[in-house]
Amino acid sequence: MSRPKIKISLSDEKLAYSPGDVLVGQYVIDNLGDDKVVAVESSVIWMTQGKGEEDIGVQFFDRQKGPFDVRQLQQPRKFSTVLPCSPFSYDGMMIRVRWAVRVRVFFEVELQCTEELYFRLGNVSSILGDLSG
Amino acid sequence: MRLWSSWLLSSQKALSRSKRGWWAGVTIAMLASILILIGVIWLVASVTLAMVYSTGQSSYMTVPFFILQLLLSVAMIGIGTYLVMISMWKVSASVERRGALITQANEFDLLKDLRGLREQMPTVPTNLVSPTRGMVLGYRLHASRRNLWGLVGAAAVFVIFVGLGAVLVIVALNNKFNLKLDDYSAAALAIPFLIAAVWSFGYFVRQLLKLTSIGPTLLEISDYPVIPGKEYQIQLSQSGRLRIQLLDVTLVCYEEATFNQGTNIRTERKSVYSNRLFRRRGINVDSTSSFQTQFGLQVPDGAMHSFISDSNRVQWKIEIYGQAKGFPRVRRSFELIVLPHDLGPEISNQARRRESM
Repeated sequence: MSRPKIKISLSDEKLAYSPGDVLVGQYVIDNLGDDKVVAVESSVIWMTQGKGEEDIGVQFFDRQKGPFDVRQLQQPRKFSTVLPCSPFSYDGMMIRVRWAVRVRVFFEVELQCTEELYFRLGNVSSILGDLSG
Repeated sequence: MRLWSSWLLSSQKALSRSKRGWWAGVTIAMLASILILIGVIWLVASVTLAMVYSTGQSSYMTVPFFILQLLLSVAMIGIGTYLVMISMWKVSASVERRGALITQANEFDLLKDLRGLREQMPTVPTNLVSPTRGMVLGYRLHASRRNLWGLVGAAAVFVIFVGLGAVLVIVALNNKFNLKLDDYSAAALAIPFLIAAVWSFGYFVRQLLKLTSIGPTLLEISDYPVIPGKEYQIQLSQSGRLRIQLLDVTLVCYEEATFNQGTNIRTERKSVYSNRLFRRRGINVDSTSSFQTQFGLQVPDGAMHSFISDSNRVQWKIEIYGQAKGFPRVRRSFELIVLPHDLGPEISNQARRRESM
């Protein structure tokens, strides 16, 4: 099975946003081969990483059910959402908060393929220790 | 018993009127602790003796005598607990707060204004203890209750160990007098429980002193919630203790992560930012008026806002350390809600509207 390519892009090509900004993007799924796609999910999420268990919050979610035509999937699929006021992207000592656009493609056999594009929300300094001088 | 409790209450009342109000509080708390201790030992001893003699042939423990002892010991525990709670309440809450809670007249929920914001910021913990209206500055912050729970836990451990220790001592003594063969083993078993009971009593007293050695600390802030980069005034009011060796106020940010380790769930906390706001040595507090001072507070521009999710947390606190001669170091913490510094146009307008009110 050839590995499908999922390309996510944001319309304004910037990777840092402020609360209330509208995030507009699109994704294209290519190189599918003969595998049948049964569903495609796109989401805008925040997640925590680091020492603690991973928490996740969903700001936007869309699921499209197949069957899909290959050409249909090669066409750009757009999404948009208004970004919330929190949580801000944060790189702490034990906790990291990251925002991402995630696209997940489900195939007829028990396989799935995921692609993520990270972006930042807010303008928080990376480590608070820097701030204390 | 009634005479004893009325004497305690009257002495508390009389002392609270005098300049030695703080000593009255500590003395009452200590006496109450001893009362609970005696009550627990008496209760355990009565029950154990009743059980021992119920199987024996002695008529030492009659039913009315047993009930009388039971009632007296429970009364001692009850009165002691009540007095500890009263002392705690007097020390931990200001006169104004007590009055406000009694009359329900000064109820003030600042966070009602933030309901709209809460929906837009679900990961900002806006459900903390609400501040109340301040006397000098806009809002009065309230200390976390963690220390109080420490005291309750210490009291529970203390009661358990004293109970077990007392039972084993009685069994050992009973065996000794009846020349049973296993008296020494029972006595040996009682020793660690007695040591644990003494230690837990000491721990309980230390926790009690931590809460009572330095009087109530009142903290007020000029505006609330806190936005990074903005300057705030803090009013600190400390009363209750004649001489405080050291008073230290620090703004701290903690990261807290909860994770699985084997079959256990662990929580780890790390301080990621610390900034001293105020520090003074040798403060003499006049018993008729509290020590008061004002200083500035600023959460750094670009700092992370308060954040909470299932397993992760970013927490901002004002921590106050106090040290009085001959007493354990006291730490009191006041959690702050820090909002995202870049709220966006819609939220900024809401905040501005609230500020202009």
